[in-house]
Amino acid sequence: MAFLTVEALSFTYPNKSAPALKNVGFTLEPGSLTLLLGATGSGKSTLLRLLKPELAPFGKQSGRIRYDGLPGDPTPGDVGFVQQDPNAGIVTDKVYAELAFAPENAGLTKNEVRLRVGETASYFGLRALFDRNVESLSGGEKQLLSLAAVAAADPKLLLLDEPTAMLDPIAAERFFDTLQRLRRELGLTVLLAEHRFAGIFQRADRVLALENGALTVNDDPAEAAKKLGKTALAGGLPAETRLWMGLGEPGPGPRSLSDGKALLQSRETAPLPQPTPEKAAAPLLTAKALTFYYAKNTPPAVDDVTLDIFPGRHLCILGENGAGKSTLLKLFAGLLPPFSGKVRFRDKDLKTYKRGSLYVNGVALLPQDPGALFLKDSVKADLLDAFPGKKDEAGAAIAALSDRFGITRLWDAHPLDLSGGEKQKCALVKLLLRSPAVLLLDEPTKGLDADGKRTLRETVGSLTAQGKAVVTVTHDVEFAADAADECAFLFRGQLLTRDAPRPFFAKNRFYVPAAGRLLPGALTVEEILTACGKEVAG
Amino acid sequence: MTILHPALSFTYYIAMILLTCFVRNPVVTLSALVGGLCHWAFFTTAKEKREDLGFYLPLAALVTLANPVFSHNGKTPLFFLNGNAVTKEAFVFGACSAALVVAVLIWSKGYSKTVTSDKFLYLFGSVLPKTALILSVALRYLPMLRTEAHKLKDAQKSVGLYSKGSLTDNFLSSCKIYYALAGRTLENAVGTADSMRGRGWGQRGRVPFARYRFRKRDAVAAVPLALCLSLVLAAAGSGALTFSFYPGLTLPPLSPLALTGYAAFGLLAMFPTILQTEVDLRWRFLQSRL
Repeated sequence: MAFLTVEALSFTYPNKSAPALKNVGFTLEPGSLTLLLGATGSGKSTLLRLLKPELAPFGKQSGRIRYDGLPGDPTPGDVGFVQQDPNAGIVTDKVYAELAFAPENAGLTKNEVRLRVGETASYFGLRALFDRNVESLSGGEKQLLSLAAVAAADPKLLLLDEPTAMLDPIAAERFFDTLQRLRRELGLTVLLAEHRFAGIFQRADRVLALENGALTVNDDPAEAAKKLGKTALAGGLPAETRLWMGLGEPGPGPRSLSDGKALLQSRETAPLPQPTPEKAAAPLLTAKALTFYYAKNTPPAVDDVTLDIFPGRHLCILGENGAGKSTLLKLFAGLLPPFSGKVRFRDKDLKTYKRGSLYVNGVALLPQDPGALFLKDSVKADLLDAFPGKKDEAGAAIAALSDRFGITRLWDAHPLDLSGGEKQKCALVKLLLRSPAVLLLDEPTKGLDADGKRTLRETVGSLTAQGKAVVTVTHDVEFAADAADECAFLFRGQLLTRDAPRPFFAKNRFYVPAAGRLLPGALTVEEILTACGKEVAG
Repeated sequence: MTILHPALSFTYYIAMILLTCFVRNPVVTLSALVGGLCHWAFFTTAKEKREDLGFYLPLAALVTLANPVFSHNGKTPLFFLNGNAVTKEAFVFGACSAALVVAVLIWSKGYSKTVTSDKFLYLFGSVLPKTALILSVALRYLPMLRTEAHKLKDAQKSVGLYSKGSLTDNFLSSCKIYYALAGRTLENAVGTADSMRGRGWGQRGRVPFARYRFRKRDAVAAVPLALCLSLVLAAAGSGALTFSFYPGLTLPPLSPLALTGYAAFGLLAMFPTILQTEVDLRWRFLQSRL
C-alpha cells in the first residue's frame, strides 16, 4: 500500500486566474525517496505545502490527499518540513534549544524530551555543536540542524523544499548523504524538491517533474532522464547521464560515473584541444604579498598572496570553506584593510582612492547574498538609485542592460520576491550600471540551477569580451571548469597554483569536474561529445 | 559550584550578595571577604588575579580613605585636617565599606562564572516557559540583525553607493539600510512562524527541555545551606548582629544567638571553598589509584 496518495489535485491561489497546480496525481511508496523537479514558479512549493496541513496555503483546492501510511490524520510530528533558507527555519538561539523545540511541543514527559534531544543530537553528530549559538554555525551546519530539529519530532514523511539552495556543493552533498541515511536506516518516506539535483538523481526511487502546475514526469530515474533530456532541466542531469544521452546509446542509462566511463571505453576519442597561451595585457588589479588577520594570534585568513588580474580574463579561485576566498575578494574591493602587502588598482594603491572613487568605473563586488544589494521596494527603484550619471540618461541605460539580461519583466517586483537566479541577474545589472572595470563575484552559483549557471557563464563571457576583468571565488568545480579562463587554488589563505583550466584540473586529483572523471582532462560533457565526433548545440 | 544544580547555585550567590550588602557588621563583612577571596582564588587564573587585584586594591584604598576625609562623625579624633577631625569611627566605617564593596564584587564575579546566561534562562524557562522562548527567539534575532545590517552596508559600499563618507551620506545610508532590514526581517519571520507551526507549536502544552537534574549531591548540599541561611536570617532579624559605628564602635553582645549567626555565616561564606576542596581531594585520591 502506498504511504501517500495524491489524486487529481488542483489548486488556485485567491485572486489568481491560472491554477498553481493542475490535476496532479502520484503516490509515494513507504520508505522511498522521490525527487520533485521543476523550474521556479512551476508549483513545487505549493505542492509540498499542501501535503503539510499546518502550512497549507489558502485557496481553492480540489482532488484528494490520502495518508494511507498513517493511522489517522497527520499530526505536526508526522510530517516534517524543511525549508530553503535555514536562517528562517531556525527558531531559537541555541543548538540544543532548536533540537528540543519539536519534542517540547509533542506532549512527551520530561524524561522523554530529554532522551529525544540526546538521541537526535547523537544521531546527527551534533554533540560538538550542542551548546553553540546558532549564529556561529556555517550554512551547511545550520541546514543540518534544521533537518535534525525536524527529525526530532519523529516524522514518517519528510518534505524538503530546495534544502540545499543556500549551500555550497560540498555541504549539499553532505546534506544528501544524511538524508539518504535517514531514509535507509529509519525508513522515512522522503519527497525532495531540488533544482540542483545531479548529486541525488541516481539515488532517487522516483522522479516527478512539474511544468506550469502540471505533472509531466512520474517515472524511475532512467526513464525520467529520457523525458527530461528534452526540457530546460536537462543541464542539471548527472554528467554520465548527459553523456549517455548525447551519445545516443541504447539500453538502460548509466547508474554511476563508472558506468559512464564504460561507455567511453569502446570509443575513439579525438585529443582535447590544448589552450594557446595568450599574451596578456597589463594587469588591472595587482596584489603583492597580501596578508590579512581577523584577530591577533590567529592564523592568517589571507597569507602572502601575490596575484595579477588581467583585463578580458575570467579568473576562478577555488577552495574549500574558510580557505580565505571571500576575505581575498573583500581585500580586493577595499572593504578590509590589509595587514601587510598592497593591493593596487590601475597602478595606484587602494588606500589612495578616497571617498568612494575606487568604485567609479573601478571595482565592484557581487556579495554572496546578492539580495543584500537591494534596499528599495522595487527592482527598478534600486536600479535607478545605482545609476551614476544624469537622471534623464538613466532610463535608457537601465532599459538596455535589463533587456540584455531579460529582467525587464521584473522591474516592478519586490527584490525579496525574486528567485535565486533572478536576484543574481538583477544584482549583476545593478553592478554593471556602475560600469566597473573589475568585477568580483563571491560564490555566484550558489542557489542557481543548471539553466541559471549557463546564463551566468554567458554573461561573464560577454563581460570579458568587453575587456572587463572578472574574478570569481567558488566551490563549484563544474562552473569553474566550464566558465574560467584561468583557475587558482586557495588553501589556508595561501595561493597554491594558478593555471589555465585544462592543465589546472589535469594536475588535480580531487578537485576535478565530473566530465574530467569520465575522460581525463575533459572539462565539460559537451567537450567529450565533440571529441567523440558528435555535433553539440550551444 | 558549577557542579551544583543551577537553582541551588543561583540561590546561594544571591543570598551571599544580599546578606553581605545588608548585614552591616564587621565580623560578617570580614567573613564574606575572606570566604569570597578563598573562592576567588580557585576560579581565577594567575593573570585574572593580577588584573582583579589591580582593580580591587586601589578601589578599597579609595573607599577607606574617602570616608574619614568627608565624614567627621564619631567620638575619637585621630588627628585634625584643615581644622576638621578625622575620627577612628569614620575610618573603621570606611574600611568596612571597602571590604563590603570588594566582597560584593567578588561574589558577583563568582555568580557570573557559575550561573551563566544559559543556566539563568533554564531556571526561568521552567517557571515562565513562553517568556523564555520569546527571549531565546529574540536572542537569535539580535545577532542575525547585526550580521544582516553589516552585509547590506558592505554590499552598498562595494558598488560605491553611499560611501563618500560624508555625514549626509552616512545618514542616508543608515536610513535605507534599516528600511531594507525591516523588510528582510519580516520576510524571515514568516519563515520562522511556518517552522514553529510545522513543528507543533501551540498544539499542546509545552514540556521544557530540562538540561539539568536535581541530584542526590544537590540535596545533600542543600540541607546545610538552608540550615545556615535560616540561622543567619534569624540572628540578623532579631537584631543580634546589629553593629553601630557612630558615635562609638559598639559590637552587639556576644549572645548565643549572635555567636550562632557568626558561625553560620562563616560556614556559608566558606561553602564554595569546602566544596572545591572536597572535589579536589576526591580527584587526588582517584588519581593516586589509577
